[in-house]
Amino acid sequence: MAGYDTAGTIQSVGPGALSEFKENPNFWIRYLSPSPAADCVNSSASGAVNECVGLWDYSTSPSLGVISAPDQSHLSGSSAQGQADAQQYMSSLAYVRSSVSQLQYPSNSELWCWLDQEASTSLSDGYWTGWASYVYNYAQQTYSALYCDPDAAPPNCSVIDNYNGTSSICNAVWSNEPEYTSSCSGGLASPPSWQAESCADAPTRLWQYVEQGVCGYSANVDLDLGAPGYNYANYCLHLTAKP
Amino acid sequence: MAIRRHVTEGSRGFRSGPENPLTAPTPTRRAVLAGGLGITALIALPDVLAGSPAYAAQQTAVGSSTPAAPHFFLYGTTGPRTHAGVEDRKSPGAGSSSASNVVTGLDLAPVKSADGSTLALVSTSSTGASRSVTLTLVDTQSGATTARKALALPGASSAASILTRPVFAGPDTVVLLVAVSEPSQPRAVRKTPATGRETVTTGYTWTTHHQVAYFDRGRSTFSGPHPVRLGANPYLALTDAAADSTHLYLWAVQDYSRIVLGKGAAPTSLTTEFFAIPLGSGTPAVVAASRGPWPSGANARILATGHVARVLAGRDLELYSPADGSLRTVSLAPMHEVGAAKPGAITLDSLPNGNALITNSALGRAIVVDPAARFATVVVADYPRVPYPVRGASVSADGRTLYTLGARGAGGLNAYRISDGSLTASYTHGETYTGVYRMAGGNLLTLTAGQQTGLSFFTPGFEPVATAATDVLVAGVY
Repeated sequence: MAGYDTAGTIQSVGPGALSEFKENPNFWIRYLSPSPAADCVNSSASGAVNECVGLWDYSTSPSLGVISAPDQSHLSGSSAQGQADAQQYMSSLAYVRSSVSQLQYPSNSELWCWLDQEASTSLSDGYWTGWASYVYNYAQQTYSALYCDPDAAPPNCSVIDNYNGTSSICNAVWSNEPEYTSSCSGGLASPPSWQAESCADAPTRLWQYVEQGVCGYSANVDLDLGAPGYNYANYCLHLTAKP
Repeated sequence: MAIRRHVTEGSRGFRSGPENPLTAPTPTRRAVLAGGLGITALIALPDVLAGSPAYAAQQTAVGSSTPAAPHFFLYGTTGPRTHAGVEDRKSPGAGSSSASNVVTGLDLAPVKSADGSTLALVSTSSTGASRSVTLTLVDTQSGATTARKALALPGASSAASILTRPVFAGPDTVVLLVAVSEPSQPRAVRKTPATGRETVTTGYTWTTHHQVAYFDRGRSTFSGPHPVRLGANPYLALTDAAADSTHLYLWAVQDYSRIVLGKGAAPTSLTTEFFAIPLGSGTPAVVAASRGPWPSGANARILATGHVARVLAGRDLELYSPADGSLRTVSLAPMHEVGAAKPGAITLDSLPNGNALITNSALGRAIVVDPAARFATVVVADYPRVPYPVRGASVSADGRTLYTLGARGAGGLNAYRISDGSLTASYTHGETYTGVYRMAGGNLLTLTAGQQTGLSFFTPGFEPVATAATDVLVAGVY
């Protein structure tokens, strides 16, 4: 059961993605602040409601994953920088949940809160501990997690693997490699068998197997797949009714 | 690997031109350098270098046989366990190529003054129970440290999380904007994380207060810190900020997690707020509701017209006019014609003719607006999309040329004439760069990610000058 991530709003991207892939996804992953280069769900109370209406209309199960993509230079910074970014991330999560009463934490009380680390970016130990500790300790349901390219050279796994068993633990990795560039006819309906890259200790639970532009796909979405045994929608916010 | 270089003239948008195979330049000098933030190896190409217009211009500029020595500064870490720092380097052709540390233990990326002459660096320290921040100013022409001054933060506890940003306010003042977050109300957090073993950790409620201090560059003294009086509720630590010679301008938003709602009360609608604070004070003289997104810790810009500008979601501008006190959003329609699955790297530059240039690497679009004509769009240029590079675009010193990274798969660089958006040159030998910077002397510097960061130097016409590698995992070049 595959889904989408996008930097645009669901209601604006959904129709094009439906036209291209001929069905709706199992989940959407969307940006919360701080994400200075994306349209954020928490842009306004009405914006959050409109986004969730889009989620209801353009998904098979109205499940909303969340990610934050701070300015990537932040990720080399101090613990205070990481904490400040996490503080805003969690505050924006609280604002969205407050703005859309039908939007609930997952029933298993485990929301994976992703930090976006791009392949060209280095993650510092200080930033991760400041960020992850804040997210992990924010609420019973919030779990720190990292979107990254595990096999990329800049520090990523070497940081997060070090904090197994502490409050700075990385509870899940969302790997953006390898990219699915052949047998593209599978698209959303028939994703490839699981072959995501992984770190040594932090478990990979989600795989971005197709990026926009690869395989000729033009909709403003990337395609994502949960690990075997993990229905990612179960680790997302979900709507109990149409807002 | 064979080097292919192709140059096209006058074509609109990105288009591959005829390719002219060249022979790979043979390195004629190799020096291994040590002692900096990282360890750097340099391979210079002196024949190409000596023939480059930029190098000749440097020679002419100083009026002697001594090459100009433009410094540049690499910001980043050397590994996961090291704190971020800045390494001072000289461009190839500037004689000595030594690298040296300026400062390590930085909290966040450096900030450069509007005229490019000074770099501001900030680090936080503790002595016993006392907390302080240290501001270091570096002359970018000489690499010399011109000021280093500590500011005590009375009242900040040893457990406080302190994030300090420098903001240049005209030529005479550097503002330090300090967010002090204090923990309280410890509570046990019982969870079962990915290990499958239940653990108990300690969570806190964090409350942030903002302070501001003003560094007088002439006297080398601080005034403050003054509490910043934003509102009754706590605000988030991240702010967007800029300053001119009279005011500090801030975008801030309340910490929704810390807003206490009355029983049965409807959820509070939250709006980003804009503040104009007179220099020397902590009390805003202007408060306005912003229609833009939450601040992300970005540096806003003072445009040639005096407008204070920040980019919204990589698509629009929000502008404050000190002249009439208005705060408004300018929708950049061409940026709404395209979309992307990923966010990208955003740039906002003031051009010498007063226009402003905005680029968005995820959209692969650059737009020039004229502030004097109510920010009307002057030029739109499309270039290959690159998702989230370290820096996706840079402008030549004369404001006539935009340099961008090449397309996925092709790599290399492209150049566009800003006056009409046409592609004027492109270069590739198959290398995918993660950043492009225009250096003080006019040459270009590109970054390549890896176990080390690859540095490649080019003339403005894409003639290779030198390559190097550094242990600094570069997150920014200044």
